[in-house]
Order: sequence, then C-alpha cells, then structure tokens
Amino acid sequence: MRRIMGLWILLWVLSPTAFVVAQEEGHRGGFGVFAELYSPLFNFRDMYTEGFKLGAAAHFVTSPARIVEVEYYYSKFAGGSLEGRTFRFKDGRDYTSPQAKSDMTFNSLAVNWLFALKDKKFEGEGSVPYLTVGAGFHNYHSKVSGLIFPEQGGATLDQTLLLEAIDDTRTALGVSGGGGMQIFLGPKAALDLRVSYNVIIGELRPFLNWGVKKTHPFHLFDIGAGVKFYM
Amino acid sequence: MKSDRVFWIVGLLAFLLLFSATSEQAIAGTTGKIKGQIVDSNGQALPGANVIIEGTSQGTTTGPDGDYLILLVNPGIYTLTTSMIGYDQVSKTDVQAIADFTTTVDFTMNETALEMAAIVVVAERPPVEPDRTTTKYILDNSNIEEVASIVKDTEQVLELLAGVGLDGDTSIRGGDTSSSGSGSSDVVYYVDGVPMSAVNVERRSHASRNFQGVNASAVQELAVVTGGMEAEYGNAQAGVVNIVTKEGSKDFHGSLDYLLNPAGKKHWGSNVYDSPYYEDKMKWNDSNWTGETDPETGRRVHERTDYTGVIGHRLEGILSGPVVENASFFTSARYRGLAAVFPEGKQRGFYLYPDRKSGWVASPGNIEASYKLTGNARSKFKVGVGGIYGRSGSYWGGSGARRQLGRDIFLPEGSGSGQVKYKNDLTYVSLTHILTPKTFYEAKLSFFRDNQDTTNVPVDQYGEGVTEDIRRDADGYFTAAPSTRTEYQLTKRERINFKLDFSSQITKGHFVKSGFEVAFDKVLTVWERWQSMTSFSLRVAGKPYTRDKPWEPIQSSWYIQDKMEFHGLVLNVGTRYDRLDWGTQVPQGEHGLWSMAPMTKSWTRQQLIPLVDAKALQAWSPRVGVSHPITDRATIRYSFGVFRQLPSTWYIAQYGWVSRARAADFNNNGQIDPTEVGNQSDSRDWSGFWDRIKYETTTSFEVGTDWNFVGDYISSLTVFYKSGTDQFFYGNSYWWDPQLQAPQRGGADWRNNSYEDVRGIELSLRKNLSHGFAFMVSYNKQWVSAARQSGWWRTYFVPDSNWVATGTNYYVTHSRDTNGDGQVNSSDSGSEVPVPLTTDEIMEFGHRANERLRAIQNGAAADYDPLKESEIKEMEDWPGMWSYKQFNVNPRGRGTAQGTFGTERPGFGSAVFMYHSPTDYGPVWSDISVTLVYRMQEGRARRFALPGEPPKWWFGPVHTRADLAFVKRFQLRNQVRPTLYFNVRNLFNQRDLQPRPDVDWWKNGLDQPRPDSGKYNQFGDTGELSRYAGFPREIELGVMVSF
Repeated sequence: MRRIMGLWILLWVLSPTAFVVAQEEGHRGGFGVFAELYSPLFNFRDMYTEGFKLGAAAHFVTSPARIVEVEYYYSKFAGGSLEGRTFRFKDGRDYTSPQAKSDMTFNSLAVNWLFALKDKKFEGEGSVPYLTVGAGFHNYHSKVSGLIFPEQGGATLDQTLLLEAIDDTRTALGVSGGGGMQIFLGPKAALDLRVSYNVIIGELRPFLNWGVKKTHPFHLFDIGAGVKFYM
Repeated sequence: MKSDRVFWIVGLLAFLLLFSATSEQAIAGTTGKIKGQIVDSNGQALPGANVIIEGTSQGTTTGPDGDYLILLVNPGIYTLTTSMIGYDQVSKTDVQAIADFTTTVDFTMNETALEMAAIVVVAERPPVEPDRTTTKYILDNSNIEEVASIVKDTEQVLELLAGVGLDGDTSIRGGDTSSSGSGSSDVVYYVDGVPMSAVNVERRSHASRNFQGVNASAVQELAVVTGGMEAEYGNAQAGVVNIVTKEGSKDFHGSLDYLLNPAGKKHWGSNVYDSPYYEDKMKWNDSNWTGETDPETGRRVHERTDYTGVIGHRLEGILSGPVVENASFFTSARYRGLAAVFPEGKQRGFYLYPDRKSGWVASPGNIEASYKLTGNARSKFKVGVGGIYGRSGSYWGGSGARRQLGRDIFLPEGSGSGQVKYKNDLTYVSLTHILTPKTFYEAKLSFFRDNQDTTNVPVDQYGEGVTEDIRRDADGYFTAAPSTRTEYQLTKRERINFKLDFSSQITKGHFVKSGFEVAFDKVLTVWERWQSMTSFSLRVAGKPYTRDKPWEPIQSSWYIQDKMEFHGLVLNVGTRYDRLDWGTQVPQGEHGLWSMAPMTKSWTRQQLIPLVDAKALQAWSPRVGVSHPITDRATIRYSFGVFRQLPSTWYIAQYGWVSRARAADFNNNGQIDPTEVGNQSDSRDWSGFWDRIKYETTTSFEVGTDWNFVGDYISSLTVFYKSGTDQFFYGNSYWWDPQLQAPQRGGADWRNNSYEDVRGIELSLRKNLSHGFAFMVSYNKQWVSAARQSGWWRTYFVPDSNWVATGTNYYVTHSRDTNGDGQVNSSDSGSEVPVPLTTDEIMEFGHRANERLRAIQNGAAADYDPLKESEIKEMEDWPGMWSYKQFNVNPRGRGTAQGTFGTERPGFGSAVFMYHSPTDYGPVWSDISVTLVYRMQEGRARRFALPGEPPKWWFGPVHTRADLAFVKRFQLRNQVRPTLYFNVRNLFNQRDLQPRPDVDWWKNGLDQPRPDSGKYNQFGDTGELSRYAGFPREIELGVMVSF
C-alpha cells in the first residue's frame, strides 16, 4: 500500500513540468504546509474524537482568482472510545477490556480548487477570502486490539480470551468543501486560514456489543492554518 | 432444421433487398432528429434554404417559416451546412445526434455581395437535452473508447451509469435481475431497435446474458433508461438498455486488441491445496497419501495442479469497410480465454460476472461476434441487416462429474460427462420507408435463437440414466475418479419477432408514433438429473405434460405515443396494450392441485389431467413524461407510468418430478416402453402453467432535474418511487382428497403474490472531456420494502359430490390392462388407465366431499380459520370445484430498507476520472490517457436482535474497488496506430468481506471465526476461500493496433 501511495505522490510531486509550464505561461506556483484540527462527526465520534492533521501542498494559480492545489496530509486519532467502553457478559455484569487499544491514521492525497470571492485576486497583497472544493483518496487504518471476547461459552469470563487484532483499512474516495482566507504577508508568502467539511466513503465496522454502530461514510470537520509560498 | 431454414431465408432475403434497393441503415429507437430555424442577419426567416448533413445523403429545405427538420439521423457527431443563393454558406461542426432525442441547430445567414463565402462555426451543444422527459443516461462511442482499456465488456460499461447495479446483473433501481426473484430480469435490451432474448430472460440459461454478445468495441451509442419508458417499450418494469451498433465505413478500418492476464492466484486466501478449507484432509507430508493410486486406472489420486500458473488471453477485433459502392459492413468479434479462479473442469474460459469473478464458463473455445451491413440511401427505402453470434461451452453436472473446489478437486481437467454447448444468435432485417419528409414507417423482422445442449451424456439401452456411485479415495473423502453421470439440460428458445412502427411529425408540435409488435416464441427446457441409478429428477418447461414439445405462446402489443412540444415544454404521452395468447391448452384449475392428487401424481398419470382453453392475458399501460426548462441550462422533468412484464417462462411453464426407482415394466415385456418412462415418479415443486397469472406490474413515478451549472459540468438528480405489485413468487396449493380425507399439499405454484416498493435518489455528475480532463460520478441510494408470499399465498381446493360423480374427474385406482382382455402382458401398452368409480364409491366419496364442504361453510372445520382464510366459493370456470385462499399474515418479507428479491444493495455508485495529455506534448508524454474507475457498493442486510431489543435489519460491509488504466498511443507515419496499455485491477488490493457476513461481524467486529472456535484454533480459517469479495490486485498488459 505504501508503494502505491508513494507512486501517487511521485506522480504529483514529479510535476516540475507542471511548474515549468505554469511559469512559462505566466502562472504562479508554489508550495505550502499546514496543520489542522480534524474532528469526526456523527457515528464516527462513537469510535474517535479529535485528531490532528499535518500536511503539505503544491499549488498553481491558474487564474488570478483561482488556485489548484495538490495536497498530502497525515492525520491520527489516538485513544479511540473502545479503549474505555464496556460490554455486558451473560452474568449480567459490565466489563472493560484493560488491554484495549484503538487508533486510526490517515494518509491522504487530494486536489482542491480555491475560488476567490468578492472580486479579490491571489496576487500577493491583502486578504483574499475564498471557497474551496476538493476530492481525493484517503488511505486509512483503524486498528483495534486487546478486546475481550464477550460471547464466550464459559460461565465466568476468561479475561485472557481476546479478539484478534482488527484492522479496518481502505483507500477511500472523499470530497470536501469549505472556505478560508489567505492573508498575504508579502508578494511571495501568505497565511492560509481554512475550515472545511469532509465526506470520505470509508467504513468502520460496528462493535454492537460495545454499543458502537457502523460508521459509513466518514464525516469530518477540520479547521486550521498554514503558510503558502509563491514562486 | 426448420429454424435454420428460416434463418437462411431471412438472411438471403435481406441480402437481396440490400443490393436491389438502397440502404442507409436506419432503425427507430436508434435514430435522432435534427431541427432548427434559419434566419438572416435581421432575424427574418429564410424559406428555401438548403441544409445538409455532411458525409451523408440526408438534408432538407426550410419551410415558409424558416424551419427545417431532418429525421432518422444516426447517432454521431456531424457537420451541418446551409446554403442559399445570395447568402454566405454556413457550417456548424460538432453537431451531436442522439437516439430518441431532438438536437436543435439554428443558423443565421448573412447576405453576400459578390460570391458565396463559407463560414464554419462549432455548434454549441445543448448543455442538457431539453426533450428529456425521463431519466436516461447515454454514452457515445467516444465515451466508451475513453474507458475501453479498463472497461472491456458491455455490461461493465453499463455499470458506470447511475441506476445500474454493480453486481454484474445490470439491475436497475433495485429491480429483479436474471438471477433473482421470479427469475425474470426487469430490464429489456434492444440492439439496433430489435429486442433481445426470447420470452424473458431466466437464470438457468446462459442466454440470460446474451446481450454480452455485443462487444463494447461495436457500440456506437449505449443508452439506459432508468425512469419511465415511453410506450413503445414493453415487457419490462425497471428500464431499457438500448444499444446502437456502429456503421460500416467507406474505407477499410479496423483494430485488434490483445490483452494478457498474467498467471497468478486470483482469489483471497491460501493456495487451495494448502488451505484450512480442507482442514486435515490434505496430507502432503504423508507419502502413503501422496502416493495413492486409483486401483482401476492406476492414476495417482492426489496430485497438485498449477492452477495459478495459467495465463489468460483476451482478443477482440473490429473490421469495417466498403462492400460495393454505397454499401459497407462492420463486424466485431471477441475471444476470451481467461484463467479460472479455482481448479475447474476446464481451466480456461470466461466469467459471466467478471467483476465478481463468478459464473465461470469452462470454455477454452468461445466467440462472441456482431455484424452489420449498411448502405447509402438512393430512394425512399432504406434497409439494414445485422446480427449477433455467440458460441461457447461449459460443464453441466453436480458432484463427481468434473473437477471443482471441494471433494472433486483432484479430478483431471477436462474429465467428466455433461459438457454443454451454447449457441446464441440474433439476426434482423429492417426496412424503413420514408413516405414524406415528415412521415415514415419502419418494419423489423428478427429471428432469435438461444440453444443449450449437453453432450456425452451416458444412457442405458432403455434411454434411462446411468450414474455410477462416486468412487472416493482410501480415506473416503476425495473423489478418486470422475463418475459416469447422467445429467443434462436441453434448452431451446426461439423467437420470430415482427415490429412495425409508424412515425410522423404531424405538426410542428406533435411527433406521433404508433406501432404494433408480434412475437412467436418456442420455449423448451428439459433438465434431467440421475443422482444414482435409482433416483432421478426431471424438470420440463414446454408444452404441458410433454417432454420434448416446446411451448409456443404468442405475444403481441400495440402502442401510441405523442411527443408534444410547446414553447420549450415537452410532453410525452402514450399508452400501450400487451397481450399473451398461450398457444396451448392449460391444466384445468392449477397444476399444483393435480400434482399431489394420488390419481395424477406420476409423470405417466399426469397425461390424464384435463386441459382447457386458456384465456389470453392482456393489460394496458399508460405513460406520461414532461420536461420543462428552468433556465437555458437546466430542465426539470416528471414521469409517471405503469409498466407490465410477463413473468419468466421457466416459472410459468415448468413442471418437476422426482423418482426413487427406475421405471417399472408394467406390461412385463422385458423392456421399458415409452409409455412406461416416469411411471415411478412423483410430482414435486415448481409447478406452473396457470392461466390465472397476471402481468407483473410496476407503477413508477419520478421527478428529476438536469443542470449544467458551470462550464461543461452537468448534474442530474432524480427522486423516484416504484410500487411493484403482482410480483411473481410461489405459493402452495392444497387438494382435499375424498378418499384420503385429508388435504394433500401440492407443488409450489408460481403466482402473483408478492410486492415490492422502492424509493430512492439517483445522482449523476459528469464533466465532458475538455482541457484533457473528464469525469463521471454516479450514485444511487434506495430504500426498499419487499415481501414474498405477501397476499393470498395458499389456495385450497375442495370438490363437491357433483364433481366426484362425473365419472371422469376422480379416480382411486388404475389398471394396466390397457386392451381389456383381463390380463396384463406384452400385448398391453405399458401405460395405466383409470378405473371408473363404482356406484358405492361415488356415493361414499361424494358424501365425504360434501361433508367437508359443509364443515368449512359452517365454520366447523378445525383447520379452517375464517380470520385468515377467504370464503369458500364454487369456481366459475370449474363447476363442482370449490376453493378458498389463505392470506399470509407473516409474509417472508424483509421489512423496510432492505432490498428486493435479489438485489439488496441500498446504496451503490461509481466514479470515473480520465486524464488525456495533449497530442503536442512530445513523443513521450503526448497522447497518454490515465483512467481511474472507482466502484462502491453498500452491504446487504441481516436481521437479528441484540439482547433486550427487538430484531432489526442491519446493513453489511461496504465493498470498494479501484481500477487504473494507463494508455499510450503512438502515431506512425502510415495510418497504423499502435497503442500500449496496462491495467491494474483492484489498485489498492482492497479485501472486503462478502456483503452479508456472519452476525459476529456486527456484534464483535469479527471477520474470522470466533477465538474460542475449536476448528479455527486447530486448522485456521476454514472459510478463507469464500469469505471475501472480489479478487486480489492483478495487472494486465495490452496492445492494440488500429488502422
């Protein structure tokens, strides 16, 4: 999987030709980095709460009011709720799984389009509000381990009888939409503030004995900031 | 054979007509219209201006108001040119004609002072079709070529369109498929305006997928109607697939496409010979086991074969060119020699469901081809000829008959009896006569044949089956040698179809179309299986109570529709009449009744069942569709319609018997006479032929909008509701026998006792290819409630004394003394004759019958519940026989939000992204295409209860798959264009569970057996070979050469 993702990144990052073309045609390009708070919504919150998102992007100003950016980001949700949830054994009592661990990571590659609002332009001065839409692929792993098997046959619970480690993994298609503001700090740099709503066609399996329903698709909200450099 | 004679006569006639008359192939349902107005620079109409379609002989002249209309335009991209003395000639390029749609192209002509100058402009395509009154998705030749390297087959192309399921069955909006429910697909397929398949598709025949014979490379335009169909389309409840094949060309063109599928394991889990699936049965470390030989043949019993080392091949080619002046041909052919997933009877063949790698057809030799002859019109008569041809083979047989996963895995490849030959042919001739520039009629004659026959089937001297006991290995588990087995299926389905359509643009705002169609069918299926030397089962679908005579029904229909256009509003109104004439007599009452009555239980005794004339089945279906523009880039549409469909012939016409003994020699002549065959059989299940059946009916309503919101981005959103009533499913008949004084449960009679409701949303978003990029996204979400056996699901029959006393209805004994000489010997025929009741028997049995009747009428019968059962009444068409029905208070439904009988996918969708580099990017980077196809299907439902809660339905796991294609085209100095490509299927190697896993997946997150499972701890996951959907990542390499 990593090789495939690497190939993807290579294909996109190996777009120096695109850079050259952009510059030759009078369009600006550049790169940036960002950090965001990533927040699951709805059923997704049954499994995980907020995590972080770190990424980098290459962007092209295709017209004064429009930017196309290709971004990669990594995010992680640690300490999923299953670590603390209980299940009910047939003796009527509720038990936790002391060894339970649950965390989730994303490696994502996406393309976003930024559309400047209010007749503003990405030309290196002032503040430019914009709307953004994007789509991309998100490779996620949700790993759960250490859960005690709740439907054991014995009369008493054997707390050493654990479920095998479970991994929900997929490279899922996702879309996003949102808005933000680029505050130019000079002609070649800008502070980028952004919020967006993401829908990723992924799935986390249910754990009904722990009160966790299936999550599909993923709804996430992110808010954060970054810096963009223009060449 | 007679059918072959018809085939050749039709073909010869078509050939002669072709070269004696004219021809530009034009078949309705497959052509569009181009209309418009020509004005001068002041906006004044220009009557008398000429308009021609470049490269064709089609054209017209504007009328007094400057309007023009060109009918019968084949789908494609054209250049229109106007000319008029005193004005500059104007040409518009990229004018697209789409079947069943109207393209509007207006012109403005400027006066010229000196000479006629030519002006060429690119036609601005309408962003959305303004006359789309129903949900219809269209892919033209260029769209299909964009994905041709990765989407190889026509059914896979269909699945990219919204509303079409991704399971390979081409279900539309949750409708029945050919592998589900009543076995009748709710979708009707047309190729060049000719309906495919005979008397509805059914799952037991390979022909249920015969439209696969149209290779994707032969498709000019593919349209899918997922909403309300116009009145000219019938016998379908869910939708229409309309395929228009390519025309011939004036110069020779062709292409050859070869795809290599490298060897490798094509399933999840371990190599089968090492898999936990076999637990401890495989003993590769035991030299006695590995060295065991079959004592009869000396062959080594346990031998691994390199089933993963088979290289797969796929070859597809097209060729088109001139035949004579003004006539051309197009032909396409395909061969698939892919590798089977597991060890199979034959290791090369193809899949009926390639995306699931299921439905293996073991056929190293196979071909699917299509052909078409066309020409340029010279008069007002236009003739076309075309067809589809398919040949393949496979195996037919159960355990011990051939190599397959399980105990038979060590059988040699190619061994076993019961090899099957499939033949699928469609041939058609069409004639179009243009009466006036605005009026024409079309006649289409087609002949369809779908045959399946089993070869090398062993029979004994009496023609009865020969089935040896299976010989196992020393451990008694694996099959040591292929057993001789009698099992075969013979299917013959033929149809001669004649269709006549009359079309006229009566006024500017009315395009009226009317027509009728008649289909003469022949249906025969015989499926016989000998499980052992004494046990066999037989199912027949054909003429009642015959074994080798086809059922020959006649279906006819008539329709009329008017497409009205008023200031941008388009209204499509029509109605349709459908009729089935049975072409045979049918059992009086229900076959299910007779099937369990002792007097008529066996195959031989059922020859005595009285047959009566059958009432024709008929129904009307109104249809309405409206389209209204919201802006010049958006329209809204509504449609409502009633859609009828005949249930599957298999379930209408089949009978089944089982026998626990070989036929008995009744006349002691030392042989089994034809009259004795089946005399030890019992009638069992799946009984049909009841003329009280009705058309399945779906009432459909939808609202949708199409919006070109920016640039060339177009969205379509549709909300729909379908109510399916009188859906076909089985119920049971019960016959109260006066002698036995107890109800006898009859066979399962198929009847219209089910319903299904589907509500849903259908979304499509696409961007046409521009600036090197295009995409197409589709998504369906639906909520379904369905219940089998939901209505009157049981029918009880009770005779009265009059019925008993007729002397010809009821028997309790039979005699084998057929010649009446008081003896049973070789001079008798071997059949049985019923012995008339004695007077005392009539009195006794008649009394019992009346007592039973009175008990029910008085409510005294213990087994009669007036709350669940209807009032008992004498049958109008069967005097002396009374019946009542039981209402099913607990239908075998699936509650809400589940699925229909076979397709339980509540949500599914796909996305296709295409990038195409410019042709001037240098020799390396130019003309490269990258295509990504992403598919998603939601899981199926299972019903269970959590502790302390009522049962609920829960949806299963999602399945996704991404396929990537990389294509590089080269341009040589001559006309030859080589193309290299490679495909990566399941790019991300996604492994998902089957759509409906065990309950443990929901409750405990388990996708493998429980941790306390003894078998799991001892052997591992014994279900690993079937637990997961799809297949591991695989890479294909291809090369195509075109000229």
